[in-house]
Amino acid sequence: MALIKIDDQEVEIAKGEVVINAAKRVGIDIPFYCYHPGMKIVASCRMCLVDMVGMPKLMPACSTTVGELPPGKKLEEKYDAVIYTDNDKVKTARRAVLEFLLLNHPIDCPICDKAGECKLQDYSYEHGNHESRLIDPKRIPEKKDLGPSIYLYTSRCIMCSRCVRFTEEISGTEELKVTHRGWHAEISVSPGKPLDNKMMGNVVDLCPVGCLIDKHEKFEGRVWNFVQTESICPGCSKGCNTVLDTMKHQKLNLEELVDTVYRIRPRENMDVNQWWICDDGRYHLEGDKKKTRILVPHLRENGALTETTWFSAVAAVSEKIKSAGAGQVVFIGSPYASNEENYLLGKLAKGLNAATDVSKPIFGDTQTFKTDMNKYPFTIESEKAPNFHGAKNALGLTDSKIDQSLSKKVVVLLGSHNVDLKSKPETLIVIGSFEDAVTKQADIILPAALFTETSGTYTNKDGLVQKFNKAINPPGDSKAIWQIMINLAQASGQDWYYETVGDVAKEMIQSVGGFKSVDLGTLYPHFVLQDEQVVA
Amino acid sequence: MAVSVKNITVPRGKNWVDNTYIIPVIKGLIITLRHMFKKPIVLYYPENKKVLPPNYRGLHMLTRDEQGREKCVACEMCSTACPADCIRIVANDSGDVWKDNFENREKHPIVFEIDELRCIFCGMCVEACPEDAIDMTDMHNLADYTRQDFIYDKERLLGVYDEYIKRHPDHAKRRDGEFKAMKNSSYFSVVSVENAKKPGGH
Ligand code: SF4
Ligand code: SF4
Ligand code: SF4
Ligand code: SF4
Ligand code: FES
Repeated sequence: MALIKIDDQEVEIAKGEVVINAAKRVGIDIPFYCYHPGMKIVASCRMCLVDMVGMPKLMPACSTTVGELPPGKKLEEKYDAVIYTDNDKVKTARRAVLEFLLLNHPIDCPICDKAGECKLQDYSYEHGNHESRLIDPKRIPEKKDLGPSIYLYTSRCIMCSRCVRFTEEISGTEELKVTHRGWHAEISVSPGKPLDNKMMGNVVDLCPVGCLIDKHEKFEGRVWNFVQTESICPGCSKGCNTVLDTMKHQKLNLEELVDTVYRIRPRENMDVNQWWICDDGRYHLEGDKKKTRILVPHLRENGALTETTWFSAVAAVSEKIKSAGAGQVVFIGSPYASNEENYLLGKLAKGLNAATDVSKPIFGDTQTFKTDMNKYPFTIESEKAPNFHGAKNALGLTDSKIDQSLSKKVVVLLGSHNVDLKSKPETLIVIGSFEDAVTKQADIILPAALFTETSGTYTNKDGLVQKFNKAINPPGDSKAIWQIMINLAQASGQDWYYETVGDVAKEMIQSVGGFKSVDLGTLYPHFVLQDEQVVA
Repeated sequence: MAVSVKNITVPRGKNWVDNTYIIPVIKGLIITLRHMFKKPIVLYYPENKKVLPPNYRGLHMLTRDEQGREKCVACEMCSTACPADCIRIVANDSGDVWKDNFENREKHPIVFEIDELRCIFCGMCVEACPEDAIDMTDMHNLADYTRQDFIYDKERLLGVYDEYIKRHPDHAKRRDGEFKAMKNSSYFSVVSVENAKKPGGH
């Protein structure tokens, strides 16, 4: 441990720790481009230069470490280093670096999707020169198509090489490289080897400027109109932490654009996904766009599915269940629904003395990205459902016996993913979101919200319980599954009600063994806060 | 309640002429009469129209570039700056629309709407625009039958420009701030409609 002084603050710095990190701990933000905690340090952008007493030149804070000085040689009698991040020397250096970075930059912020979250914009505003002294014409190279989902706006690049290091160190696919030298240096792919791997979307987030642009999100909206909601990826059992970007509600003139998720981006969680997500997760909602959403409850009348109201659909469900008799009814939970929703399904079944089961997740390929330089290999799990673990847990089951369950007379299906109907049960009730082969055969369909449209928790493959939050409203008449469960319970004469998902979670944690270790306060901080206020 | 009485003396003139007030009345009349021989300051609207200053903030227009395409690149600066939240923009790739898709025209608005009833004509949108794509005209006499008609879409706003540029072909100069050199420009000549009555006579 060495003790250093940064501006006016003292901070301890561990052996091998870089100055930029130590400064961040005491709230001093040193500007940087090429540094990324997850990748090799190259110190190439020179944005992070700081003034270190005793050094002949300014030092890059992202690669400078501090060792202990012998007792007699300490600076100011106690420090191992004295660093200034804001004196005139540093300010001049930052101005100069920015002037260089902007030499050939086209300044096309009006059409750049990064504008608003671009570090070149932010730092130019904060530390820059505000005008160019270049008298020669700018070199503005053409944009390049790097692969199926990414464009390279060559002229905007600041050559920080984050994207190159990502493909070398994290994905290990090595598609990107720097070609040419000096003024002409460019990021490129080799002919016939486009940027195409399951992790490529991450380079768009990594790029500190608007050089790498995602084709899916191009011109979708300006980032300052977005609000962020913390969520969990439902793509596989890894449970990556994500952020959903949706349009601000208070923008009156964008009202009709509000209920759409525009982007899914990774959220840092060192225990699960570090800084990344895979493209299956990133473009998860793209697949949904091709399917037909069920917007209103449906009831089979005279052999044909017809639209109906919630009231009559729910009444019809309880009617069917009652007439079949308890022994002939099965409620099948889903690995695609949250813990709370599966728990309520179990509770509803228990109240009716009906059997419970859970459908199987879809299985696909496992893909692991591992390189020599990657501390945390990233694995896309083969179990393509977010919550098989938790669903079994919440329902008190050990495994899925769905093939037997489907032979019952009345089958209530939570979601129709991966359900293979050999023969249609006498009555099939589906709580689902999209039209498919199963819903076509259903007798009653209740339209359900997706994970972006309600809140809840998923348990990932390691047993970690994580919460996703509601970002947008469910379309049409569809409702969150936990609300549908309450409606069904009330229609069948059971007397329970929950105000919020938090109430369900609280009861679930207390009554189901598998959730004993879950801390309600971290998942639903707002909820616990409310409870405390009631006590006070 | 006791009533208090105050005696006041009405000021009297020095002689009877003063007491008839005839001189002040004539003085007043002279002022009135003087105006009969001055240039009138009212206009015979709508036959005659006032010449508005070049920075007048009236109806919006979307300007065109040399090739007749809208200059707007759908950056949404104007809608962000707008305090009345009355501009609605949906951006799109212009690659398919304009084949000679060059740098600053890669993006364009497929929807550009201004709700002129909600607008407060503050001019913030014009200030904010980095492309000089939105501007305000001297048109202020807007009338229509429904509220919906006041939501100007892209085509209509471009149409306003076409109409405006016919009357003010030197519009571009105005944007460059060359007011002084424009003494003879359309902005400073009287806009009058044929058969308009001459001001001054009754
Ligand atoms: S494309 Fe972006 S991330 Fe890659 S070197 Fe250029 S600026 Fe850095
Ligand atoms: S690894 Fe799994 S959880 Fe993570 S982003 Fe990909 S699909 Fe989603
Ligand atoms: S003039 Fe003001 S209120 Fe009207 S559109 Fe422009 S910014 Fe909005
Ligand atoms: S009018 Fe100007 S400010 Fe508004 S979107 Fe178009 S280019 Fe941007
Ligand atoms: S961040 Fe330190 S040199 Fe780039």
